[in-house]
Amino acid sequence: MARPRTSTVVWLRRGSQMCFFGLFLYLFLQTVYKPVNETGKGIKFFFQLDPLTGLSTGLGARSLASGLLLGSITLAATFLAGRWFCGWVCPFGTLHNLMTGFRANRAKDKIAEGGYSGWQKSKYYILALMLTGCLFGLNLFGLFDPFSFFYRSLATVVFPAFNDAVTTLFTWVYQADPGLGKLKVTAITEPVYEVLRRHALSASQQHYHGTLLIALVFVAVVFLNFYRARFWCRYICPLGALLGVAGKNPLFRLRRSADACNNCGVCVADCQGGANPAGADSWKPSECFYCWNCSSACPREALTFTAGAATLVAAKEEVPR
Amino acid sequence: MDTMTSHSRRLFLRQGAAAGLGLCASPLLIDAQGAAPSLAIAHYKSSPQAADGIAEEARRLTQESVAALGGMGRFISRGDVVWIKPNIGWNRRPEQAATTNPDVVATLVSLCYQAGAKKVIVSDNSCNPSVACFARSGIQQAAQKAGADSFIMDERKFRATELKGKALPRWDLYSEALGVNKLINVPIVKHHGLCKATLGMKNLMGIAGGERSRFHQDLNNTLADLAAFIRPALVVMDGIRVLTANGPVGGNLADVQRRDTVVAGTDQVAVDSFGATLLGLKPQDIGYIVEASNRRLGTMAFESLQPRRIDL
Repeated sequence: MARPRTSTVVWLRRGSQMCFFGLFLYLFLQTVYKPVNETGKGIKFFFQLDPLTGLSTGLGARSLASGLLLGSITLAATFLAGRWFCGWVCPFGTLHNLMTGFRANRAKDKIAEGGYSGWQKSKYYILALMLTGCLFGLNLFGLFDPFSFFYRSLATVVFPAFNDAVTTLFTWVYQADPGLGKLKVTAITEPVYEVLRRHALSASQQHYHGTLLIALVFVAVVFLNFYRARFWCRYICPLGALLGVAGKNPLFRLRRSADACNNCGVCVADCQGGANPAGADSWKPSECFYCWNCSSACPREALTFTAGAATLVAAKEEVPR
Repeated sequence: MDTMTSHSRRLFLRQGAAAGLGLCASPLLIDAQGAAPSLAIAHYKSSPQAADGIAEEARRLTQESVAALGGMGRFISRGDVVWIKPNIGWNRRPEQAATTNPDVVATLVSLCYQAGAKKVIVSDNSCNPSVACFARSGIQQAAQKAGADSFIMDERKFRATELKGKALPRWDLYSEALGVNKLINVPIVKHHGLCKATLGMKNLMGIAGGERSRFHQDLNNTLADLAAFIRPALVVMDGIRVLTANGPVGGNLADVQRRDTVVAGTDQVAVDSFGATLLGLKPQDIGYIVEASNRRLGTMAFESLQPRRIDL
């Protein structure tokens, strides 16, 4: 078998993910309670892109806010190319993608467990439950919307811990004041700390009630990636579910060349969504993140994404196991 | 900690010596009685109501009162690092008169730079959450616009310091504020529910950290201890808008009255004594002024200093 290569599209996708991930972290830092009163509200861009924000607000309040209509662009794009948002944009998805990358599983195991599971329907039930809740004025999206979840975890767990760790470290150096004669370590650490204090750290150490629960849930969700690739995105995410519904029959589809495919299954190994790229008529657009890993992994170049009607042709013969 | 204290004391002595030399070198400042003026009271007659009119008033009163003492060059030398200490204690707008007028502060920053200061820092240890106080008071923005470094204090830099005072033998003080070349105290005159008036010596509490609420057990001795230890090179007191009731936090605009006055002086006790009169009080009414006067930190009889009076 030829060595798997990484296609240009995969690199483009990674670049896009890093840009949006970086943007999310940057906008998050703007919201921190800093020594100057310049709290940035730019993070709302992600919530505006999120069609769940408009949908849940609309259902709950029985009215639409114009600022929340940006999410309809995301939805419209999903009709064209499925859950590309999950694969190319969503910063929380990128975090799961990164964690998935740390798995040490062998390709054989990944192929065995990487396919579609019926449990992936759970996210649709979660979505349905939440939409029903909205009708009665109960907003559960604040708990399970991916941006809410990620933002809450960053704001109440990750950032306060980071802030405490950095401050403790620099304070320890400041108080111990180590050095040789007049050469002090603080000559370097204090200017660095001053820049951090003014631009990155919180004006005062924040503590939140209920942090332990939020931390446990966040850590659990992050480490579930070791059980299944992008566990949150496959099984829980209500936004993924909504985009899955909208992208059930997209224009832009995965196409398999029956002549080239020998059913080796290597395309399944790094499939992020559990979308069954291999096998006859098995590709599930609602679970596909358009990550291009399958197409990139196929040594025979049997898988391509193209626009047009659904034509997945069965392979002529199954490879004997 | 001991080394720091003695360092600070040396610094104060050095400042005193430098001020003395400055006087000898500039005979023009010395008036007919042979002494440099130590108190200047500037009053603005027209009492404008528009915001830009009040800003102009604050600028001119500050400039003229400092000029009457001989100009900022008398207090600030080329290359000095200056700490300007306004009252940024409360999350209040300038109109509510619980914090120092931002234009008084900004004007002092400019005067310091004109006198050759290397760096001017404007900061305070707020009572309400600092970020909100710095923003709402308008002081941070005005000070930064004038070129000062104005950020909330770094909590790590309060250090236990030997004051050897009656009420405060030892307390956490802000090491950077003590480590600069010159300190300018810029209080606002206002009513205080416990000690009747918040004035200059009361404003020095902003250099202290820790559980400052304890100060109120023995405020008179505490403030005298602070005034004895932290000796500002100059005090410029904002009496433009004066909070006359429900201080020190206030909030109700009905409690704010115009006095349209800025006082500048080198004698902390004399400046506070005059400040008391803006609230309709006598210096003798205020315990910490009496205590500071008894300790000979300055004079309660501010008229004896023959204050320069400027009417604008």
